Amino acid sequence: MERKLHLRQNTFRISIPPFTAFYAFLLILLCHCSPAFSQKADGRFTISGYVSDAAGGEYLVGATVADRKSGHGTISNTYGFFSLTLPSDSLLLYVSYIGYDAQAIPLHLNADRTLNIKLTASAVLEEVEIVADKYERIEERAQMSRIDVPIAQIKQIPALLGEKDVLKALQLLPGVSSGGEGQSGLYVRGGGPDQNLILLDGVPVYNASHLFGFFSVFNADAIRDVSLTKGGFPARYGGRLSSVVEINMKEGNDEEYHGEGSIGIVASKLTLEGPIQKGKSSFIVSGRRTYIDLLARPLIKSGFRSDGSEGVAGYYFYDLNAKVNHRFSDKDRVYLSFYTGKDKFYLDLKDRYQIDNDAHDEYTTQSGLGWGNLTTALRWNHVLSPRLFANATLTYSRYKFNTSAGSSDRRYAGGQLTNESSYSLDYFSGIDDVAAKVDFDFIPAPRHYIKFGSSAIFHTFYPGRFDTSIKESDDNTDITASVGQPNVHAGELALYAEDDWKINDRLRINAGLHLSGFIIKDNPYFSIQPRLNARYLLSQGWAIKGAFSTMRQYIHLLTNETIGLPTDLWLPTTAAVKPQDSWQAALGVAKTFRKEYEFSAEVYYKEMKNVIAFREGASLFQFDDWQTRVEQGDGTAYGLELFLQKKKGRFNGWVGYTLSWAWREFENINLGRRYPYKFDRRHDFEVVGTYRFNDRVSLSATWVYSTGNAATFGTSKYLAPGIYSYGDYYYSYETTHTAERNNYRMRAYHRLDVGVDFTKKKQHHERTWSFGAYNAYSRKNPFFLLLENEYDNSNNTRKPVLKQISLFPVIPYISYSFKF
Amino acid sequence: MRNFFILLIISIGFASCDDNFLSQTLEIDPPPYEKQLVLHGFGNNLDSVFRITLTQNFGILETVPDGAWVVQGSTVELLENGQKKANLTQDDPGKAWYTAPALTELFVSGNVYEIRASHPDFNTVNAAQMMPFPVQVDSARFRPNAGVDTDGSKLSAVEVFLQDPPGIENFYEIRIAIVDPVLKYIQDGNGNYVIDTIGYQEYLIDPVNSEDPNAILTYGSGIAISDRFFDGKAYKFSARMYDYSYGNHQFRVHVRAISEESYLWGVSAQLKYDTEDFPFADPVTTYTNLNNGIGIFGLAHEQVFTVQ
Repeated sequence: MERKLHLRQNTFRISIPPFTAFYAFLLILLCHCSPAFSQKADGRFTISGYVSDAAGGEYLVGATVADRKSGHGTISNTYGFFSLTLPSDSLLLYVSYIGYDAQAIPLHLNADRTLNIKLTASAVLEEVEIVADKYERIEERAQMSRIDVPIAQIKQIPALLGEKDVLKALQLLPGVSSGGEGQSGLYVRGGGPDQNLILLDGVPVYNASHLFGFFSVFNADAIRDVSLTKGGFPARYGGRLSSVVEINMKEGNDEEYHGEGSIGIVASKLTLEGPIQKGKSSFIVSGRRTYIDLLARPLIKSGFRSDGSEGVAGYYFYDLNAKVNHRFSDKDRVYLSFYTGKDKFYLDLKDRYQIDNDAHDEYTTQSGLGWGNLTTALRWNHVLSPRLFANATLTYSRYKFNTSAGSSDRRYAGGQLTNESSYSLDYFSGIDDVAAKVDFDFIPAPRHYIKFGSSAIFHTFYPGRFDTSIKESDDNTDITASVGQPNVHAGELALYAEDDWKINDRLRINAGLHLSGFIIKDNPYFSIQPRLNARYLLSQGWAIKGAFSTMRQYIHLLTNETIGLPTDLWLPTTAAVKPQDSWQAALGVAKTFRKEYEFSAEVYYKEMKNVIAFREGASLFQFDDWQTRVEQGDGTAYGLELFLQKKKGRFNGWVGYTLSWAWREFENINLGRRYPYKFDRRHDFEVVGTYRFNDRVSLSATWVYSTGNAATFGTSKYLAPGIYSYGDYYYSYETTHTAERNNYRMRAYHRLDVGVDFTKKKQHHERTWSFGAYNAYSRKNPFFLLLENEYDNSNNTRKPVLKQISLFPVIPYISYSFKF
Repeated sequence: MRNFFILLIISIGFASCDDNFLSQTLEIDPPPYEKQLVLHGFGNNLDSVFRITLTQNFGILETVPDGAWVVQGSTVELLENGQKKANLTQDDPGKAWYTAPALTELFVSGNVYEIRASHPDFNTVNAAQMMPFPVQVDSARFRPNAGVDTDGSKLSAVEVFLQDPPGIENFYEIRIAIVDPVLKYIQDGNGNYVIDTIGYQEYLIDPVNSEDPNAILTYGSGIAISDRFFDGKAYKFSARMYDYSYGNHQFRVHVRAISEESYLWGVSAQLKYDTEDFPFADPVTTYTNLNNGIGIFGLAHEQVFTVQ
């Protein structure tokens, strides 16, 4: 069977864009796989099933299931499913997962077996001692450039205003830069902010930030696991050049009802989970909302009142995550997950002007700014055979930005409305995706783990539309008009197949092919993307790894790179704006020391084609055709990353260092010369540590250092000729000379965050007080630079000064959280 | 232990109340720069007199006293095909103008011209380029109705039909001037003002855009294009401007074959001028073709057409 599949793959490679051929292949496979893949003609049998948490039923991803006797093993997939095919024999299965007590299961394998394994969380995490394969070690994996961060570790990291933040935790990893002070944007290995595929339960999230990027949309209480892949992309990933961030929501406890929540300075959270039908189905609901607007409302109202107006103004954001799942049988499980989040600014004002004793005018003004995501995924897991697992998903993702402003003027005389006029202007932009996906895991033998599948996405882009309305009762004016660019529809298809193949005890590869297509207005684009990861085990536990991957991206983001504005606009590849392409090669070594310290060192080189940037002088705040405002060019990034991580124990955390270069080259930017990318950072260093003194007290701290961002700055000033008369000195004006793009380095960025948690177990719940400080030594980190004229009273003159504006001094926080 | 942490947090809290500790503005040193000569000189085939301005640059935080921009006592010379053609002398001490003596056939197509300025306190600056050849213009016309801009405002256009020679990359620029009569009055014997002479004055009009999205606005009310997309072909170069369909205006269309240096400088200078005070605009790099200096030495071959 193994051979047959390889023949299929070869055929597939030769006949390239045939999506139909691939579907035919899938159909044949599905029609035949169930009986065929469980044949015992070769005397081998399959043990398959799920690994889950004994207490809550949550599936465990990446748990190791290995036979001690033969040394063969496998790991559970994203849905906890595993499959291990071995010759008939007596086995001693070891099942292990980090933070859980391992189980040893003796069994005699003489038939296909279904084994659902429940692991118990270690009572004392740091003292768990498990023989041999505790979990898949870094040196065993073929894949490189991927980092998994336990969510428990993320929740320990001190954060701005105490809001634990998944994306900001990822910024603390080597190869990842933040945009600026407090921002949640990700810049991975010299890539842009649009080049990250951020998946929440497999659904892309198009704008992952709240409050101009200071918080991400992911509520850590609702998250089960987080991983970042920044290179060596397996064939199953596609659609973005630089990284894949996979965030999976918890599934909910199917045994008992539980809850957790917190009350912080800016927001409060509450999460509830429990069984719907014990052992079969469960739910989880998690919500978060800020309440500065509610707390400040009396003050704002009184402020308006003192100005003679009635009104309210405020800002809030909220997130709501929900998920239900039901196990219909050992073979079928269905999940429905949902996320919605929104930011909203609002201002409502009412003024009254008395004209005379009998008449008055009432003016009302309303304005608002709102943006948010909505994602939904309906997923069906089906075990087609002990060796073949299928996951079919329907998803919907929407990002919407809208702003509105309106006013009305009503005149009353003698208690009657005598005249009314109103004006309103609304702007709307966004993106909608409807997608269908099917993924298969086929594990024919311990040495092969084959994944294949396909996806189809129907995109609708809303590039921006203004609706305006003017009404006047005086002259019966009633005008409504819409101006903007029409909605654009596009289809994106992808097919992939990959095999994680242990060729021998030392050599293991993950090889695959990703095909993608994009169709917009009869313009089709196709791409063939080969992927390869390889690992070779050296002596003394060291592994040498190499990876090569090519990627293609069909959608682009027009964005301001300094601050996470909600005006970010996702736009498609068109006849004029080509898809972005990249290839990346990486080479590295990895080793696990003393069973708990993972070390990796990687060098990488990445080239990008058709990356997008605003033309010189263009900005987000223009409303002409976006295609005329952008340039496409090349990017190059290379560097070295060192990473030492300790995931468990009384003391855990990591140390990361990145030495990197990132360049851009556009024909019409910087006069065609290559220049450093804005987030080119020569050095990036981060230390993250948590120390648990005992069950009640834990201390955590992070320290980050990075080379300052590159900025473009005029280095000198001179007289330029007047605009209407070349060379006429008398019409000259003073301007600055900017010789190069990104010619100036801001000051280095460094920051210490500290936090301490005091936990106490009460009769019915556990509570934690968290105290901490962001930027503990109040480093003045650069946010932007400002050149301005300062008035000098002593000699009545103005003097130009260059100022660095920082955003956050030390920001202490306190929060109270509870679990029951 | 717990008391220690509480004390630590309280200390940080108190520290954060200190004004200096919390101040988020910091004065920083300006980027380093090199003192350089700044030269702007534009020549064309219609010139008989060639003038440049020569000044110097200053640091962005320096206060420049009146008159300090001007560089006194520089030596400036114009070379043609490597041979000195003229010395340019400073018009007046304290003025930035340097002028060459009047010459016939000052700039000849195909010849290479170089400007060179030196001063003991600065590195010598120079720039060289070939005088462009004229483009064959078949006709030029005014079109009153040429669509609307993004705001819905009505546009007129001037259209120039030209023949692009194949081979090397050429750059063309159009400038449109409206020709308005200028009346001169004199007092008659009774002290009344009467019309004495009628003259005409050109006023440059800012173009809005072109039908061709590859055309781009240039400094000095121009619109320019590279022949990259129509090399060796007939081409209609349109320059759209705000509505002039009313009245009976006369326009002078300056059709200029410009050097690549003039094109690059014109584009960058216009973008810089348009966006300098807008903080959200992407930065504009200043083009210069002067070695060791800032500015432009730009040549153009110009033809003038009158359309109505």
